[in-house]
Amino acid sequence: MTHSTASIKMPRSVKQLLFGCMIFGLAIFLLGLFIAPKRIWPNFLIAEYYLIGLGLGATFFIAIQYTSNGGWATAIRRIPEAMSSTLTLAGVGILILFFGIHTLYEWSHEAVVAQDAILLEKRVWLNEPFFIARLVGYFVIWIGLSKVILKNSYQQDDDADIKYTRRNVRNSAIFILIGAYTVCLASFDLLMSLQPHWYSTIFGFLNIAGIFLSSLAMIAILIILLRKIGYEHIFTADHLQTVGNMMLAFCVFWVYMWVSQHMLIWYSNLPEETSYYIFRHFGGWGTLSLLNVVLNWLIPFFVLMPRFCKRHDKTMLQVSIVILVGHWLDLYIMVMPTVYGAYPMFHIWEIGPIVGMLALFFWAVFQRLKKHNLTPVNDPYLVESLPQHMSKHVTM
Amino acid sequence: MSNSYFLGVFDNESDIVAATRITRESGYDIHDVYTPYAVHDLPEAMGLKSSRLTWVCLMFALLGFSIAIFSQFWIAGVDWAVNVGGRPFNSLPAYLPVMFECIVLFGGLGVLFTLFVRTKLYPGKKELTIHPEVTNDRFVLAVELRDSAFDTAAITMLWEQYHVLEIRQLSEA
Repeated sequence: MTHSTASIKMPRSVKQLLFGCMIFGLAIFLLGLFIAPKRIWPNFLIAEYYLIGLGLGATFFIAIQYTSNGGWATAIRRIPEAMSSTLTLAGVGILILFFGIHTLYEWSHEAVVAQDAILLEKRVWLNEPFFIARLVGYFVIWIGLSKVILKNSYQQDDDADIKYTRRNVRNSAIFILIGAYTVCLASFDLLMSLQPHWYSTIFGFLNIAGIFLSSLAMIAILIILLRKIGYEHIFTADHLQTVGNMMLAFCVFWVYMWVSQHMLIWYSNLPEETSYYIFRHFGGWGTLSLLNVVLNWLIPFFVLMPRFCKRHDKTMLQVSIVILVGHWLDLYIMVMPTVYGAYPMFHIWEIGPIVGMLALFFWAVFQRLKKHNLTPVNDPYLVESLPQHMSKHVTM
Repeated sequence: MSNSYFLGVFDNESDIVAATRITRESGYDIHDVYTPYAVHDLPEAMGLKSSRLTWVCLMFALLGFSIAIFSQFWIAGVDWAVNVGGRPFNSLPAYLPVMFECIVLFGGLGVLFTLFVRTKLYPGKKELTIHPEVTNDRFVLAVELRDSAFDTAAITMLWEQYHVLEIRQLSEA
């Protein structure tokens, strides 16, 4: 039995909405380049990092299932696979971001570096050619491994050979190992070096936690959307619940990392470390920092605890949206206080890039979902992932 | 008081799940189902209610939270206030690690000991092995045998549909 996906059709209104959002985002971005470049580049960075996070988190999700021989997620694997394919778009985005290096990063100005003893020391790592080379390198690794894993998975649909699963177990292990290092380094490069005097060794882990949490929320949203258009027989409440369990675990992991970074810096009270939090602790940014913890941890933690919430489409949709808004706020707090302004601002420049990027993301994901079977029909673990009555049907 | 059980030994997962469901739906009281590993659909087939242990865990965690927060405030702020470089005596963020650890410790140990008490487990307890092969590769369904009116023939017929391998009666002293 194959699950033909010809029937996945985006309604015209949704298509128009997505294209409208994309054009809106693009227009704001282009307008911003001329009117408010100092405002638009950090927001583009946030949107770009958001997109990277969704793609990478999904690839991690697939890789974890393969390396752990996990069977439960096989039926829903096409969703993270489609998300993973958006890494190519993020790769294009990073090429655009290179034009904003001078607006964003203090260390890219030779004149500033020459007068700064600390930046002179850090020049070995923080210089423009190496920065560009590093980011290109990360993306070559990420996109390359993601493409290989996806290709094996799609090919298995055609000839049902188990060798693709074996190969992907190996590829996934490589991805987890290299991916974890490169994500940490990418977060150092893209976000932490906005304030080049400051450093935190846990920053990479904090970002991995945020990235993975937001990807899980996005996977949950896509499961719910596909359930809504009539695929409840593949994407069951059991899958939703398990994704919910992982969301619960990772919202706790995120807050653990957040507190670890925040509390150690607050406690030791050293000037070179507190320079980051001094902006983010008081006034409007202080309120937003608290809101960040509420959105990313407090609300999801208590909502996701009971079993029935995790099996209820509407509750899961709402809590996933809260997490995704929280992840945007998390990045906003990391980027904006340093690059722009002493107080938080929310204007068309903030809305444009992220809305455009998300519309692009959804469009790309649905294009990819349309292209292949909605579930890996010949994966040996599929039987474990479907409800009993279904699995008998499929193996026939 | 002695408990008697009527046991059906099955060979595989899908049989035991189906047999359990039909037995419960026919009105028998299921004592327990013994399997060599965790079977996914079994809790639903047995009609198990969700465990109340989670609430016990929450209560213990809140107890740990209160003890941690109270003891730290009282020790550092009231009973033995030490001036460390002019820092305030009471400061909530500094208490977070101990609060976290106490929540985990009280929640974890509390729920474990509650489980021991509720299931009457203690060191050196002699537990009845319901069927020797359940530790190997057999699935055993145990039904409460309450009175002499228990219709063994009917339940045997019921189980035979699901390829029952062996049927026996067991009394616990």
